[in-house]
Amino acid sequence: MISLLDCFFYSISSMLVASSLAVILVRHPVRAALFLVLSFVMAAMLWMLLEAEFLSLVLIFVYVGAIMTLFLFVIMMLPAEESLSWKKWRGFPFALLLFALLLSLLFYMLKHSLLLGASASPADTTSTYTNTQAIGHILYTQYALPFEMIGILLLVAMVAAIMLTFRGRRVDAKGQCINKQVRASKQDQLKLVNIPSEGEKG
Amino acid sequence: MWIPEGIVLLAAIIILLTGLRLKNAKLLAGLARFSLLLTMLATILIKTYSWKHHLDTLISELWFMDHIAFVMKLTIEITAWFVLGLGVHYTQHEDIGSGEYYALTLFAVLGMLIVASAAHFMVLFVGLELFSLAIYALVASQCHISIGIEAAIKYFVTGALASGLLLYGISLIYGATGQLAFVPLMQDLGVIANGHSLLISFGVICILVGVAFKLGVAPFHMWVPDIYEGAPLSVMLWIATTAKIAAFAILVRLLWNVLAPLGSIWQPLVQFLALLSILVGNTAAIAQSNFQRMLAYSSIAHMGYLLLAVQLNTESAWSVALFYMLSYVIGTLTAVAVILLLQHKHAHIKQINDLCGLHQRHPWLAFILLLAMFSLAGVPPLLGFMAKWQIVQMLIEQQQIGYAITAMLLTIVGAYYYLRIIKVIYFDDLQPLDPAKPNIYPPALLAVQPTASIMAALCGGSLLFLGIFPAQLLQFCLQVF
Amino acid sequence: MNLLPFALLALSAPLLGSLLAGFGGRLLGRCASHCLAIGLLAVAWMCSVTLLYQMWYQHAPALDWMGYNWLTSASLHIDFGLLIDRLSVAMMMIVTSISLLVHIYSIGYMHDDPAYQRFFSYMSLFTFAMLILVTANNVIQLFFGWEGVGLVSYLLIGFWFKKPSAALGAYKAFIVNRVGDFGLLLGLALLLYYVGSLNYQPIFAKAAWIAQQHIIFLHGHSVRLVSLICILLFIGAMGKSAQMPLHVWLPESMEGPTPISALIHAATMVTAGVYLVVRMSPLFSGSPVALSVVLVVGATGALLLGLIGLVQNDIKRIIAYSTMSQLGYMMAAAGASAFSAAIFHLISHAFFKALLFLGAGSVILAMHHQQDIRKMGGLRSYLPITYITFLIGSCALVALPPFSGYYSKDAIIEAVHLAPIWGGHYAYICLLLGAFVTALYTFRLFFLTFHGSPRFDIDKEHLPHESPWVVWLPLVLLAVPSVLFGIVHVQEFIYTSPEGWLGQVVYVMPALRNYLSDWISEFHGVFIATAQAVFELPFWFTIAGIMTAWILYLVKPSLRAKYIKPDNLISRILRAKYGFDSFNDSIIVRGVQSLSRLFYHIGDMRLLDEGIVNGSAHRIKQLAQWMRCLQTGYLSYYLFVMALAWVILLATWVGWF
Repeated sequence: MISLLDCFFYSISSMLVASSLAVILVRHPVRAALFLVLSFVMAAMLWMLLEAEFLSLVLIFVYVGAIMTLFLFVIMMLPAEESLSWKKWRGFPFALLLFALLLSLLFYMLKHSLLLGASASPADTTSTYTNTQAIGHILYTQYALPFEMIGILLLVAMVAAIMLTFRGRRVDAKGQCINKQVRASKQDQLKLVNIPSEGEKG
Repeated sequence: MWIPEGIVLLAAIIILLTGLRLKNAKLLAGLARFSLLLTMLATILIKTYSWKHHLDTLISELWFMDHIAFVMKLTIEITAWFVLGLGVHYTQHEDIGSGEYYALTLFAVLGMLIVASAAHFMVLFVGLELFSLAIYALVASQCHISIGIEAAIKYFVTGALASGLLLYGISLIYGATGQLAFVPLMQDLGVIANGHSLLISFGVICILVGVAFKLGVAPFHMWVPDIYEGAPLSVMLWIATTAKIAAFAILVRLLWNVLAPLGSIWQPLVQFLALLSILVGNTAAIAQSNFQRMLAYSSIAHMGYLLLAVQLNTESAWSVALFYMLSYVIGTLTAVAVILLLQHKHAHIKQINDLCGLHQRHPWLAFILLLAMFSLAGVPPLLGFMAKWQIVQMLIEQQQIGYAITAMLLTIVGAYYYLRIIKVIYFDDLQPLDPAKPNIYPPALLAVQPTASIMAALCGGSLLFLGIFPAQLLQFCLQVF
Repeated sequence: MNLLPFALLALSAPLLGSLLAGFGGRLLGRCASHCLAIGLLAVAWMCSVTLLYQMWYQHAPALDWMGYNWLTSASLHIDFGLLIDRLSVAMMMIVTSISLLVHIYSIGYMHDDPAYQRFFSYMSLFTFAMLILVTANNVIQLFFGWEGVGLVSYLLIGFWFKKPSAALGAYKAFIVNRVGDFGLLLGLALLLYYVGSLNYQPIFAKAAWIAQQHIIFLHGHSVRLVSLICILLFIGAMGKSAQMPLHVWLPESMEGPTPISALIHAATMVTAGVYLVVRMSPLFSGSPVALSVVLVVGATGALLLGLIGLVQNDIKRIIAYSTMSQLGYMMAAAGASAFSAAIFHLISHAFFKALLFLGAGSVILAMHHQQDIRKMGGLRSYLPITYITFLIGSCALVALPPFSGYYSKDAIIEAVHLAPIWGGHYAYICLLLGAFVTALYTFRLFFLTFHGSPRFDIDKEHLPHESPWVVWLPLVLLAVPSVLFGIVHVQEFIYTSPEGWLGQVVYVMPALRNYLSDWISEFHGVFIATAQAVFELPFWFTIAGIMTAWILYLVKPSLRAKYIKPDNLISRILRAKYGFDSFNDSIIVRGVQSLSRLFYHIGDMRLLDEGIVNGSAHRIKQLAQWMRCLQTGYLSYYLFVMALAWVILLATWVGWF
């Protein structure tokens, strides 16, 4: 007996798989990026089905709203004719074989392993329960340490990104000089020029 | 409790900020090394304090304060101190010694320290990513050299795959047990060790693959030679020593503190990885002409020997593995130290043949390099021999005579490429770098570097000293586990 | 009285002398070197004299001293220890006395040699090794001394190593001795395996038990353990004591300096085999087979090797063959269980043979290193002292009554005559004929050298003249015991009990004790024994030998040409030395050489070098190149390999592969 939930699950997950495949098979990079957006949305929907509404929304906000938009900007700025085509990769059959093997292994694993009862759904499912609050609570109490570390990790990522892209200050770069701005006085900036009016002339 | 980590973090941020204005690599490195000294001091003080007051070795299921953490941290800090000290001139000369470089270095140390203490998958993974990310960036720090960028991209992408596999494994185990903290997880696994599910086995294998990648063990070694070759020498030293210790710390935490009850799953796999590594490392190194690539394969082989001890999964075997790790780190440190000292304005030592006739120009450096090579090859009075001997003895005691014989035969193969270096530095004639400029020979000192020279001599001397008097160190390693 | 300090001093003094002369020789100079070496040797000699005095007159008990544990490996304990008993003291006495005299003699003989100090160093080293050999209380230490004297013998035969024949002779001595040593080692290994100890005491304590053991060979052939051990030990003794067929090295060893021939290749080292047999008498007495082998081999050598001496022309080689023949007598005595007679003959032989060699050396000096007796003659008037002493030595050698050789040799022949063991009659005949042969070749040598007319070019300016006093003094000193030793000591040494003076040291098979008692009961005092000589067969054989030599070489040399054709069968056989040398050369040497060439070309070059050594290196190089090709540098490829490895690990775990 297939429930409505199952129907939703299978349709969403098949779309997720299809759109993910499309990301790597489609030739045009912009389309590939858009398919990636689609697969994010589908993943968010899956999470919604699991009642993880916070994660689901964060996925859409962060990935679709911020990261993918950035991606699209970058892709659009690149000359994108053939750069993403994978042409004829000789290893494709091998990859396919590997893929098939991996898939069958995973199926085999799921079929043969009993879940040890730990993957239960959250205990409290009353209407006052929100997993936003639960995640927030756990992040700031039990997992405060890893949370702080992730902050450092993001700092490192930022520093690294800047270091790798920063190629030294260009000579003709435009920039503000606040000191100069503050120190600016009327005498330096403004020059009063006496222009004789037409009337006086006449 | 987090004072050492705090010091490193603070120092990293200070260096980051001062580095904006201050362009003096020597000063920045000095600052970083000073902070490392403070960290060492803090580590020791905290250890003695907690030991005196019998503090708990576990803090809120996230953080270990045990012997392993202490030893790993101290080793990481000391090695990092040496690596920084040896690389000062090089970074200055290569113009990569900016504030960001040293800040990232310290961030990497921070990640490693976290890993060494991690008692929870979350902490472990974040720490791992922290130091990995910093190293990815460091590999690319010479961003005008395409080979460095290529290496960084390769490292990053393959590393991402490995991290993904590690995470996948963690999630499988979490799925099967609902536990992420090491101590309760180990208890749970101990209970179900006999009737474990396939889910856990797959999880274990995925975790193993992730760690094997970090250690650079065959067949997850493909990144190692390219990254060693492409990275700046100082960063390569970083990857070859400190990062290896951190990877070993991860290995200890995962296989000894978590998965030890599941030895029957991972021991045969580790055996396989170990033997394959020794084979691949030792044979492929023979064909190399680039010094750094050769060292890369050498490290692959050494990690194989290390795993050969690890797969025994007994306390003493882990101690011997730690001993081996130390011998490998000191040996590599010594070898690269000599090469770092030799970098010349006109010529980088890249190829093995660039070392021709080193003995004639710098007999002391040649001797130190000889000690390093002999130690790595495992020639008697040196530390490397003692370490190999301990492993072989351990294998024989555990009735794994076939592995012992195989390992030793491949050691003979490995001796070839170490001895080739010695042949080149002692028996080959000097060759001018450029026929047009007959006066410039490749093995020339970069500059007079008293500190770095003393450090190199210290490393080489310790190879000899600890090789002849290994008892104390061995005893120390035995007490850790 | 504690004997130990004397024994240790006797051992260490020659070693010190050797080290001083060897390493400090250049610093010390020639005179200081030889003074030190001789002085230290004199110390050793005096220690030996003290020990002998204690043993002989004070009847001191034997000393078995366990020094220290030298090496321990599982159940194997190797100790350094000393056994000072009558046998070893007698040997020490002989070794140090002859060595001391030869040292003194060498001052004159080696006077012009550039490697003077080295020579003294070697000689002292030899003395040390020989003393170790005779004083050891375990077989490993004996083996150490055994190899030590072998080494020094090699060094001294090849002392003039620039002379190809000397180098070859040294090789030959070394290699032939290896054959014997191999047997000795196997015997020691058997002892170790069955007894579990290498010290004499436990071995002899278990001798009766060993005598009852059997070894089962392939197809169930049972062999008595004791016979096997003894024969293996005797093979060692054959090598060292130049018994047939391992005697071939001794004539070649005459390429060494003459003092060496006297010291090593006549008086001391070559008698080590006899010493070994006597020392191991508790074992040998358990095996009639081994005793018969010793008897027959010894007696055969005594006759056949003496015969070769008849056709030799080199003065030293004649004496060398005589040495082998006399060693055969000693072996025969040991085989007949007359151990005291063997040792007695060993001692008296040491005196007169050293005397003969040194006398020959004096002649050689006078003849400017001419050694061919056909180019001598009439030296009597030029070398009066040498002549007299050489005559005394010859008389002792051929066993004319009052000389020492008579008492020892007569005792041996009589004992063998009476011995009721297998091969006894054959041995008796051999020894009797040997007496004739001995007299013949000895006096042939003597007459050709000292009598008749000179056959060398008489150069008025460089007439042969008597050697300096350092050379003739040892001759005189050796002539004294050659005359007196037998007559003074024979009664006490041999005829007191079946074991003789050696007493508890040796052990005689109970079955043979009776005959030995008969044998000693026939002795009625020295003077009667001397007078009795005319009624005994050996005496007349000897006289016949001397007369034959006198007629053929002095009175009517023309008879020789008439009756003895130079190319008749017998002399050809003798000249070919029974073909041992050519057999060794053509079969053994060439066979081994071609075999080793075969192994070299096929086994070493093809299989090892090309196949294993270079082959494995090539394979590994190929593997390395192949692995290098695996490292393509493509990122996608790396990822593929990682994923593949991951999947393979998973699948292996699941059991799909």
